[in-house]
Amino acid sequence: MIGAGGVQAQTEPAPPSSDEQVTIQSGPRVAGEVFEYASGGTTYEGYLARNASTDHPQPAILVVHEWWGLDSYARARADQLAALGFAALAVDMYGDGQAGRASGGGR
Amino acid sequence: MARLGEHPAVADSGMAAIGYCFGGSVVMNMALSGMPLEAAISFHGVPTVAVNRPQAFEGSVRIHNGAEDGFVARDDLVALARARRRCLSMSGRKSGDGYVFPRISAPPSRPQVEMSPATSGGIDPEMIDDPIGFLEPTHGVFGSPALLIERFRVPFATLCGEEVASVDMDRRGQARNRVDHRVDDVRLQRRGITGRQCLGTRCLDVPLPA
Repeated sequence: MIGAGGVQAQTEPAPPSSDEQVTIQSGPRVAGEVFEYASGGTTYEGYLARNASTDHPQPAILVVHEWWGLDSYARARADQLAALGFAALAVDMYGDGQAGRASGGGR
Repeated sequence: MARLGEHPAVADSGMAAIGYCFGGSVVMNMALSGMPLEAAISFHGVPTVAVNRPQAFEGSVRIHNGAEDGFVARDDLVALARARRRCLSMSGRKSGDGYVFPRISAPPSRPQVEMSPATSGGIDPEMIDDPIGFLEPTHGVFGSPALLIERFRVPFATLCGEEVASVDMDRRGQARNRVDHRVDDVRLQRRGITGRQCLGTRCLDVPLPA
């Protein structure tokens, strides 16, 4: 249904060379956890963020990463959404710990 | 989605999806395939239509691409726009969500983001939505348009770097000084930080990629 192929109008940008660190300076406490799921024999490890100040279920948002895979950028987006009152899942599109394998898949 | 819906932290009130770059393509194709999302939002997404038979989609759709983004060919973006319109028309809806072309040349997750608005670069004017317009949704997310505005205003204003200059709202929806934000972004970039994104009292410093 969903393909990883992309249109490449120019040379794609280089992915970050390392998992960038994002500093959370202040604000609501966000709880993050590994969210594991499986499909078609592949195990995926997403990152689920939620506002730790409430136990009430929250509406969910999926955060889909860039072509190089789930990294701190997508996790930071999930954290931001969690601070706003969502349960935000930064999904893992590749699974099995892979990242950035879709070198022709855009950016 | 089913697995996530079973999590105790997740309410049974619908889901939305936000994607960046490749992920933008993913969420748009989720919408085109008729998945039960309340909203599908793409930021600088690759406009690949991977769904052979677009299905009706009941949720809200937002596409954010820079008109001068060299990584996305305009024709491809138009093709995605047409597919989206078909998708919406199948659900009996008019194309009320609109598009946002912030008129920038690089995606917001990049350090070389051009913060000053560029020209619209030949994009069809009818496809350029009022950047504020998407704060007035025509379709409710999580039941209430008011709730959508309340909940999505801040993410839209702060999660997407290119929107900081054009959709500059604080948590209470008050307009803030655009110029100050740009200056602030420049200052942060000089310090090696892509951007500082604040939600209320909470701020994230996103460092430049190495």
